[in-house]
Amino acid sequence: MFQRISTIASLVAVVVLVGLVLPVSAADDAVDKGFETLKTYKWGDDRTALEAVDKAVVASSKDAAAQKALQKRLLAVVGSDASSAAKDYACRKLSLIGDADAAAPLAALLPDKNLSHIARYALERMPCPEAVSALRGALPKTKKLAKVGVINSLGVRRDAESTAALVELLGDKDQQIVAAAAAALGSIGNAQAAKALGAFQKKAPKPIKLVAADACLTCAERMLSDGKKLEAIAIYKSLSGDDQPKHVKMAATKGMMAAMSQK
Amino acid sequence: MRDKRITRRGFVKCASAALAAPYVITSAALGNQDRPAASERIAMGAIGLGSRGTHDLQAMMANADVQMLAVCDCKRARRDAVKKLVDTKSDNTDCKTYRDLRELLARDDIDAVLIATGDNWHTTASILAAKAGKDMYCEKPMSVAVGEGRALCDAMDRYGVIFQCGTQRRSVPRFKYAVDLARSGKLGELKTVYAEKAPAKWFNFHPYATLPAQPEPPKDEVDWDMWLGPAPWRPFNAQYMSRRFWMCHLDFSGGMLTEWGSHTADLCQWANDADNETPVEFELAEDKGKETVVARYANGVKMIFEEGAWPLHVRFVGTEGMVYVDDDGTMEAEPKSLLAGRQFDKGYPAENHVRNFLDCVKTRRTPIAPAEGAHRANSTCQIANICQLLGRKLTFDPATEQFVGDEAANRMIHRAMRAPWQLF
Repeated sequence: MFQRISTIASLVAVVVLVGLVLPVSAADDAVDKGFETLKTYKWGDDRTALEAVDKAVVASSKDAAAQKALQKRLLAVVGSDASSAAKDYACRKLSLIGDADAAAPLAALLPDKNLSHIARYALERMPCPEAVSALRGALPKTKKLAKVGVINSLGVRRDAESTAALVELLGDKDQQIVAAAAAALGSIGNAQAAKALGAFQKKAPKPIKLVAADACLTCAERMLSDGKKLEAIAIYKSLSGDDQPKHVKMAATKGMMAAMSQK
Repeated sequence: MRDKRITRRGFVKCASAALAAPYVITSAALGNQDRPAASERIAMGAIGLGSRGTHDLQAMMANADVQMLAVCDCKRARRDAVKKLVDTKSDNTDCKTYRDLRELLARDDIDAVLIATGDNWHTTASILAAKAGKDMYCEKPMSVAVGEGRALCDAMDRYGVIFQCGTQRRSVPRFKYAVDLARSGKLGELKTVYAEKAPAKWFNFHPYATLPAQPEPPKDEVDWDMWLGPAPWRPFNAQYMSRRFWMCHLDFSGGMLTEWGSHTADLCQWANDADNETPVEFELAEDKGKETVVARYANGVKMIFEEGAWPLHVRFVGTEGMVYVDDDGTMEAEPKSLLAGRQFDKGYPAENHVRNFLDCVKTRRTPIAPAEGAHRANSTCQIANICQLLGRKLTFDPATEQFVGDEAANRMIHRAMRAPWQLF
């Protein structure tokens, strides 16, 4: 009798175990199929096979090992000769799970004019300091719009360590780079940025005067929220002259009133 | 120091010039009983000339105190067609066309702009307009990401410009009446608000689908790079530019949730007096056999994103009453006495909303759908999207505008813009 119960119990255990393992294997197979699809994936291809990878990425928030494994596979796509469509997909997934290990491989895409943005799409979202370092390191390696994009990302991340490099870019011959550098310095909003922007906005060429003024206003806001009230007021005062357009003067007045009312 | 007093020679020079030229003030400048004087007119530009943009432009131009000086679109056919429309209405050919919105915004003679581009452009265009000192009427949804909406609010605040979001139901009397019932306590304590999503059957494409590459048209015909704007690059395909496609795609819009949620969630937020906040919890639920999101505010009120079916509607339920109102003009209430003796028109016209915007441009008062309220309502929809994409319950802090304990969700608050576009 006991032997019979024991046999039945063993059989039940085997059935349960198989029931658990099979779906997991099926899920793994689907993910494998997704990565296989990426090897030849082009713009406009059917995306159905990739949904397993989408789900795996979302589910991996509860499983650090699974997340690392997925990241490794996605980085393999990024570093391969797969199409831009496949790399675009991989970067989007890395934007959700990428960590320090992803920073350098993503940074390698930054000089590529077609992939630079989607690499930044991932890097801007990754909270690790390695992501910001990777962006900073790409400044001398990028040109034209790719460089503008990197500058913008450094501004989004408010990377104080980039301040000196960005100040230097205020003298670049590419006006888009100059404008981006000014805006990024405004966003960073530290004392060095404030000083450089103050000097820059006095001599900024006409096409960039508004950009310079806006950067100064943003800088003043940042300094005010960082508790640097006097510095903020000084910036607002510098924008209150008749050499500024009416809406800039009004913004400066508004800012000054807000600063002076702050305790 | 240079003597600033006018010299005799300078005075004579000016006086001579004044005497030599005939003193003419045109009737256009003076205005007449049908048309305000030039000094009282609002000089406008319109950016984005699709069907909604053209509709809004006509609503603007129906006001005698609007002068449409410029139109902008990345498609030449639209620029040309709408210029003809403006020229006919204005009875002149002063209206200029632009492909690049930056050139339009650089004009000193333009006071305000209509922004009716694709959804992914709304935030960037609005911030550029604020930096240029322009007031704006911007179509909904005002952003495609929570972080973008906050940047937009900051820019409006920095420059003190007038921002009206195109959530025109705020200016439609029967919707406002329903909201007032909720806010005034006539429904008792508000318990649940129902914000309808756009019908799922409209959304036939994967939210991140891509299309095969097609030859790119000449830039002056269709400026693909400008159309994409801050969205991630992909090769040209004409189908992306069809509203039926891009409104389904999360790179260009907020999908079902913002297509109608921009209106319905906005009305629900308003009813719950939540224009400066969002719900704090979002979780998946089922409605009419389909997956949806239920959100809960800090004050306990629930918002249910209902499965969509025409006509667009909202419903507010309290401990002592209920009100339902829709686009077709149907209003229902419990008790029925809440609607006794009241008659309302059908439809959801933009005229009152546009007039409110124009009045606020002149008076500098806050319009009925300002940036902060629009951002919070839109954020509610965006967070619901994130909840569905991640498939899990989320807790959100409206003060910090961050998710609590969910890094993946926090990453989705923001998305990098394609250069040269940026948020700050």
